[in-house]
Amino acid sequence: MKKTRFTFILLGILLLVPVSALAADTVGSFVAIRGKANIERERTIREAQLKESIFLNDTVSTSAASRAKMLFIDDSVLTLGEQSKAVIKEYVYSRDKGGKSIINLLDGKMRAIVGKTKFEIHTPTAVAAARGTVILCETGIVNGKQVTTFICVEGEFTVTGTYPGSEGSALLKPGMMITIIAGEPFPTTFQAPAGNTEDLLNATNISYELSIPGPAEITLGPGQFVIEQMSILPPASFEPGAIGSTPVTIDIIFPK
Amino acid sequence: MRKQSTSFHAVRKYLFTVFPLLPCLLLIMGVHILHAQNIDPSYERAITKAALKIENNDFEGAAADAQEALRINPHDERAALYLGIALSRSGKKESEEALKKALSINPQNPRSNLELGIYYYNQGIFEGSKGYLETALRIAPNTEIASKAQQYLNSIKTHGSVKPWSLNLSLGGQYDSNVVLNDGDSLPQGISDKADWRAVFTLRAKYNFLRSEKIEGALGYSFYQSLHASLSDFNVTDNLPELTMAFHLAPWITLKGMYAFDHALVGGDAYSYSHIISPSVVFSYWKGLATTVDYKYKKNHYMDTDLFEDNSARTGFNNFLGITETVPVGSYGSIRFGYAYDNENTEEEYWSYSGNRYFLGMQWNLPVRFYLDLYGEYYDKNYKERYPSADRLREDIMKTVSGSLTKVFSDRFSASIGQLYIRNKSSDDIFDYDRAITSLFFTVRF
Repeated sequence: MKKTRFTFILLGILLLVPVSALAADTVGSFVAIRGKANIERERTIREAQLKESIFLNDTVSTSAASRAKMLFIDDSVLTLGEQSKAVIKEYVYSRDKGGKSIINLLDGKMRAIVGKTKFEIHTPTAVAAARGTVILCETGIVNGKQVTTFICVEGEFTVTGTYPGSEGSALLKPGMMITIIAGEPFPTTFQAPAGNTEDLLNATNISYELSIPGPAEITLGPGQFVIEQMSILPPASFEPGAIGSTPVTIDIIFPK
Repeated sequence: MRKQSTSFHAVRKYLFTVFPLLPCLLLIMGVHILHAQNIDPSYERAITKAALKIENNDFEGAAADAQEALRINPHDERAALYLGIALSRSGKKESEEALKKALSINPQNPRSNLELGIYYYNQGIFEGSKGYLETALRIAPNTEIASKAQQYLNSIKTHGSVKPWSLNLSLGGQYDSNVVLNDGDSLPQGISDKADWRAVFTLRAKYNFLRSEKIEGALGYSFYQSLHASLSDFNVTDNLPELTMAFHLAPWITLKGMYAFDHALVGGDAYSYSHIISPSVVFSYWKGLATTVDYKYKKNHYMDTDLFEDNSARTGFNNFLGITETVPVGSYGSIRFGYAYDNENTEEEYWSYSGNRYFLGMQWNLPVRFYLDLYGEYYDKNYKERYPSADRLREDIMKTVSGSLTKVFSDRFSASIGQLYIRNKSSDDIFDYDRAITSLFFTVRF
């Protein structure tokens, strides 16, 4: 009896697993991938494919000389530079009410074109909160310390230091930059050197490579398959009155 | 000393040359950096959405997003290219304008060249396509763009220039409820039914001897043969050679002309022949909306046979004038409707009539390469003289409805089932009949 109950519970769980997987909502898609990008979902890592859906709690990472561009449901566009890693921590969006999204950038470089939600980039040392802006961000370990840099390209956003000893807050306006070093006092913002901005823009630049259909995949135009009218009616037009009374040759007599 | 002086002069000359250039270089760098920093979020979002929608085959959505990107940045090459791609993939002629705009911004973009080549390829304008494909191949050798351009060029060699002909063969079976179009009074004894099964074979061949952007010319030949299960005296053999010409006077107007000779045998005996001349004008408007005006002159000659004793009385000519409106319904299909007037003039006036034809039809593209065609027609005919055996002037109202469903298995093979029903309501009993034909055809194309 116990065995049967256990089997039923196991079957129930097995049935529920794919249902819960299906129930997960898509929060975005990969629109461009250069090199290799991986997606970690439910403790399995595999290579991300173009057009593939992104779900909540997915971790997206890129290899060396690789980049990945993602479009999210609120029209935010994120581009990860090479050897970068980000977690889609929170994504709530409603067309009427807006929403909130949190991207956790663990390592590397990222360009964010913020959409219609209240958008936050979390890094190990700071949080940037924005709406409708363009943010460049880089985080990593330099000389044994976690360092995070934000550059504001368009709009404005607030940066808050979250690392113990680096607490503080600053508003970044277009062209401004801030670098927060773990454990060091919260710094002041300054005009971003052109080289830094350009380096981060280049590091997160990726062109779309739209697929090209081959000649066999083309289904339009004069060379295509043309549906022709069937010859349902015989071409010769009979008129009953033109038929005389001469007997007709009959091959088979239908039985009554 | 002299050597030192020369070196000094050289350095001074270098400094004098370089220093005035420095502010210019700095200015150029500054402009470049400012330009790099100038990222419009709205544009980026629109162009990204357009790219994703193109990949997901949502071409209408992609075109709307690309148009939005182009509105924000009217001289953006990428937005113009994406708009062109989205419109091209959905078969829209406006694609040409968008792709040419992208190409005018950057004539050396291999993708724009390739896409314009693909657009012309889709339109069957192979000569126009070749130039752009060859340019794409030259600009970006050893790339996917070059590989695809080569595929299209190979395809043009196969389908465009080398194969100007087409051949369609259809073989099928039909059940016809009224083969002889008679109510049975004059049928010989022993026939319990006028209905019969028949096998039908049709052949359509076409040779395009002329094809350019402005003019097209083709020779065609059609053959029809029916073989009845029992009513073999009603087997029809029909041969129809034709010559067609089309002149594309402007993108929105095409003049067409056709001459055909139609010869028919019924039961192995010569039954009729006709000369047909038909000029027509096609006005193409926005997104495939078109109006066609057809005129047809048909000179008919009917021969008396043992079976059709008074057939020659129908010899004469027919004038036909019709207008057809074709309305595309997105990528789902099209609706056509129209009106035609025809006037038949025969040796014996009781076969002469004038008729009004009203018709409505639709073609619908269904999933998994199924195509539905529905057609309905109302045709009233007023005869000019009383039929000899009748006591009053003949008036006919013919109503026709038909439908066919075609399944395309490949570009070469398809199968169709069809049903046609005709009800001819005549003031004269002998001409009052109805007819239903059920068909199944298999078609192969070369």
